[in-house]
Amino acid sequence: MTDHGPLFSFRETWRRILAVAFVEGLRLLRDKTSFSLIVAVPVMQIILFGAAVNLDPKNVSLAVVGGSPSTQQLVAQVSEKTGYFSSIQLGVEPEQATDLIARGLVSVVIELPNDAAFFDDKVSDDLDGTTTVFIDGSDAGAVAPALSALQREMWRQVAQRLAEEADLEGLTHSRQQVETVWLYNPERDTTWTLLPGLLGVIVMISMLMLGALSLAREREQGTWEALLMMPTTAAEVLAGKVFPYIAIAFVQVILVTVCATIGFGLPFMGSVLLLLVGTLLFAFAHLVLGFLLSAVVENQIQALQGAVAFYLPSMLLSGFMFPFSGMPGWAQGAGNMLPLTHYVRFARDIMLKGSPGAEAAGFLAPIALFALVAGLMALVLFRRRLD
Amino acid sequence: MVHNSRKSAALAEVTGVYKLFDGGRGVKPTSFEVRKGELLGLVGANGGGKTTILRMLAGLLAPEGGELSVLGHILPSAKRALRQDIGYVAQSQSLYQDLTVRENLLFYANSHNLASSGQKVEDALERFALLPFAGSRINNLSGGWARLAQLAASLLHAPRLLLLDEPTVGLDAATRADLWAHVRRYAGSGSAVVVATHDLDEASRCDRILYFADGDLQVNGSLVEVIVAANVSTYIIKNNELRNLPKVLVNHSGLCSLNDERGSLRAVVLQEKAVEFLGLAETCGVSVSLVPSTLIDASTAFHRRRLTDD
Repeated sequence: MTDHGPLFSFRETWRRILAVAFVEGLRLLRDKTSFSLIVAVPVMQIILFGAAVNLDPKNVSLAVVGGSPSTQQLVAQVSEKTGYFSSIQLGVEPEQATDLIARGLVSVVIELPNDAAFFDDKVSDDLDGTTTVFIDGSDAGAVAPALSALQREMWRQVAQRLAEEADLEGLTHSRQQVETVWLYNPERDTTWTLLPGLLGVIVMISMLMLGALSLAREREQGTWEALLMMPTTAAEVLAGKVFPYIAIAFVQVILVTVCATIGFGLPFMGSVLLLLVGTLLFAFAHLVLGFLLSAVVENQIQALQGAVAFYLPSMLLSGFMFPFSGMPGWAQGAGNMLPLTHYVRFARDIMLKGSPGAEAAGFLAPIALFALVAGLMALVLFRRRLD
Repeated sequence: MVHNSRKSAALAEVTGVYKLFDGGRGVKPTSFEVRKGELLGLVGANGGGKTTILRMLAGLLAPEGGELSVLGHILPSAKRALRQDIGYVAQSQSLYQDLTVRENLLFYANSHNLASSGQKVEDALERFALLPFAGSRINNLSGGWARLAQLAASLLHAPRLLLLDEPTVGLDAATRADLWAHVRRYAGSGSAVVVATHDLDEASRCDRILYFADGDLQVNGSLVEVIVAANVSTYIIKNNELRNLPKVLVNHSGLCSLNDERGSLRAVVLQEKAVEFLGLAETCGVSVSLVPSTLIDASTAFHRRRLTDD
């Protein structure tokens, strides 16, 4: 084509971008595997994470041994009050304590000193003996929240008893209480914690996979050589391929958000528009990372392996499933390099806290930086392969 | 090397270009030109260097050395500028399998920023008799129709130079003829067509042939010139079978090939050994008659000479 000035050149560029976008979009719609990745997998993940996965496990089985029958009753009552224990066995022989755990019949055994009168008698200096709690450490995560709740309840009871005794003795008339208020998630529903981050996980996996497969598939199917013979530039191919995938990310945001709010009662406190903009930026970052992978690898298998190698650590280190603050410093450093870490904070802020736009948007800066770097690298590698 | 030095408008000039891969395959320093309006055949056995030459002409492969100018663009630096003016049909199917013929053609038309792209696509569909299949996906077409669709796509932007890599592999005779008719017509319209093929029957249709063997350009000339350059004589040994032929003839050092041909034997003999071969035949009482050599005969001679040289 002849040179007709910048405007004509822009029109030509735009037309080539749209040609690539049209082909990519059509192929996506006709590829049943990709289509299932786009729609079915997110729906399945919402159902699994919303209805099945629970990071605050309840129904813990407990046995109480030793102590007087009344003490055992009291421990059982306290345990029941926590709401974490479903099956509580009393009157078990002391020698059976660890055996019950070994046989998998209970997860926790509380062994009381034989003459202990925990809350029955006045607390006195001469009260002695050790209460031992045996825990099935082979599945510590399933028991930890229950034990923590049990300890809280125990100390609440002790504090209450001390206050009552002091009151009886005329030492004080005040009733000091500790009240815990859970903000943003009063029911401590882990679904609410998971779903905002899940939106990021779904978009991340889809974009990374689709982006990584895009170029590798062209090469394997022989269409890459045809692209090489077109006047289309690397930047135009990249831009054209971005459009349909971003449209997919848009559909996924709507799908997951609607399912989360209607299906699982997730409150949506912040700006829908900001969530949309942030998620599309996050999608773009992973899409260009996928393109980058695609430009490096030789076939679709390698592309998929590359995608998995990125998204698995992202899920583990981002704070999506496991507490970010619980990781060692180096892992937190690595996590902070990953866009998902910042997206999880962003999405929780928008959906649960309803933070003001500027505050939530602050989380998007590292994602934008990541997208810029990955995009430039993808462009350089595309150029090397295409131009 | 035989070189035909007829001068005419050159669309591509290849001067001392070479490209060698690991293992020694590739193209050794080679010079030739592609002239306007001609159908140029790159001929030779598999691994001879045809596809490497074609990919260098297309700007898909950078030469290691030499000078390469295609349609006035110096390659590999100006390969992007070249893409508007060149058409390339790869050896493998390069259209999107999951798109229809019309969708593929539209993609090509829009990527080349063609004016009235819709109309041009419809014209191409009609010209290549693809209208009945316009709505069919490429993966639902027969190999022949898919190949024609690929050719139609590569000609949409009316390139001045069309490069075809083994365009008729796997096609039936009728489709081959159809495809060659399109190619011949296109070359006659003032553009040039370069076709790489190992099918010697098809190579005979070309105006000029570059015969490659092991990356070396052996001959550059017309069909007759290539055959003459092979320096070979072809004989028909009538009403004879291989098992009845005296061993002294079968094992003759000048014999390049001996094949059954409708109840007779076709013997291709190196020219310099032909007198000796004829003498032996006479001694053995075997009747032979000289026939015109074909490109296939010439090819066996080139192959034999290379084996002897090695």
